[in-house]
Amino acid sequence: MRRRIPVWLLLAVALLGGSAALMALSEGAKPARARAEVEFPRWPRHAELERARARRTQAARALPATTVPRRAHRSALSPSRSRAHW
Amino acid sequence: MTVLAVALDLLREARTRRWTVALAGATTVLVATVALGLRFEVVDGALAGTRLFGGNLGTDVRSVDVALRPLFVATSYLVFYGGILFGIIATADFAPALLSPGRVEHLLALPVRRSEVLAGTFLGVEALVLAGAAYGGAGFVLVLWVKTGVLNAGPALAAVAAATAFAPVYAAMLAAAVVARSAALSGAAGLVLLAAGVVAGNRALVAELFQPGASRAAFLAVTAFLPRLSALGAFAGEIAAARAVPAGTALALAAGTLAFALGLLAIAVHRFERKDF
Repeated sequence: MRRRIPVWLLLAVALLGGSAALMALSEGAKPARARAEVEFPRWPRHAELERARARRTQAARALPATTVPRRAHRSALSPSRSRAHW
Repeated sequence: MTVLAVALDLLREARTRRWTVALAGATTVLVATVALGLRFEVVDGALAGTRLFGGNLGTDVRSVDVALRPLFVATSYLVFYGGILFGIIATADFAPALLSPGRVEHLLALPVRRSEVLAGTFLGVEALVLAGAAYGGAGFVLVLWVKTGVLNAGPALAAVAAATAFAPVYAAMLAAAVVARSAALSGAAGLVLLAAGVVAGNRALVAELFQPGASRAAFLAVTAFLPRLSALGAFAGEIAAARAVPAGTALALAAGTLAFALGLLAIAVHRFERKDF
């Protein structure tokens, strides 16, 4: 008995693959470039993501400024821990 | 033609169901509540003041179409997600009822292909959800037009986006019903795909929560195949806010979503063809 080719299943695989390719295109990325650190410049909420990143970068920059006086204060209290003392 | 006949048969059945009529009534009550509950004071195309529970909201005079953009965006999101949820609740038992013992044998005895039965059911349900979402969307557009004098078609367009986003959701529901004839399982499959679609639509943002490396790559690889349903909703919101929308991106997104739906429908047909009734 001849085995039937699962046409519908093949069609489903083709459609799902095509769908993934179209959606990758909608995000501004080429399907072949499906790597972890992918950027989506045409994604509807891209601007929001960029703003969140900018806020995080700003917060990271602001962090050393607030911690420096505290370190200086600690080294002033215990001069033995300070490199400047040596 | 046979597909259309099956779809029309499903719509006839939906019209006789009390549950569908009750949901349409609930939509009418919601629109009527908005119509009676909102109070605007619009002077020569500018918004002089808005009252909420008797209190003034802001005193600066602005162009009414600019001032009301957030309201139109919120209405579009309501129509989009409300339309999809309305669809899941209203149509969860259509496919299980179609496949019930006695009925499915009668259906398959007619000169109708099995693929046409599923395609017709899919088309009929899509038409029903489009009609329901368009009814709510057009109702909100008319109410806000009469109240404010501003015609913004955003909420009505959100109904089209809702019908597009509902296509993969119902295809998953149909496939689940073919695997196991249960309305609860069918509805759960729809809700799961909706949630997955919302996550996939925000995957760039969600991926940031994963550590760079294997876990983030796995998350991005899995969500790459899922339809970006929330991105479609975001596009509907952008249109209602009168912001520029890249047409190519929106079309690729809609085409990808429909292709995903047809892929799931093909899986359902494959399974249905091999079933013995």
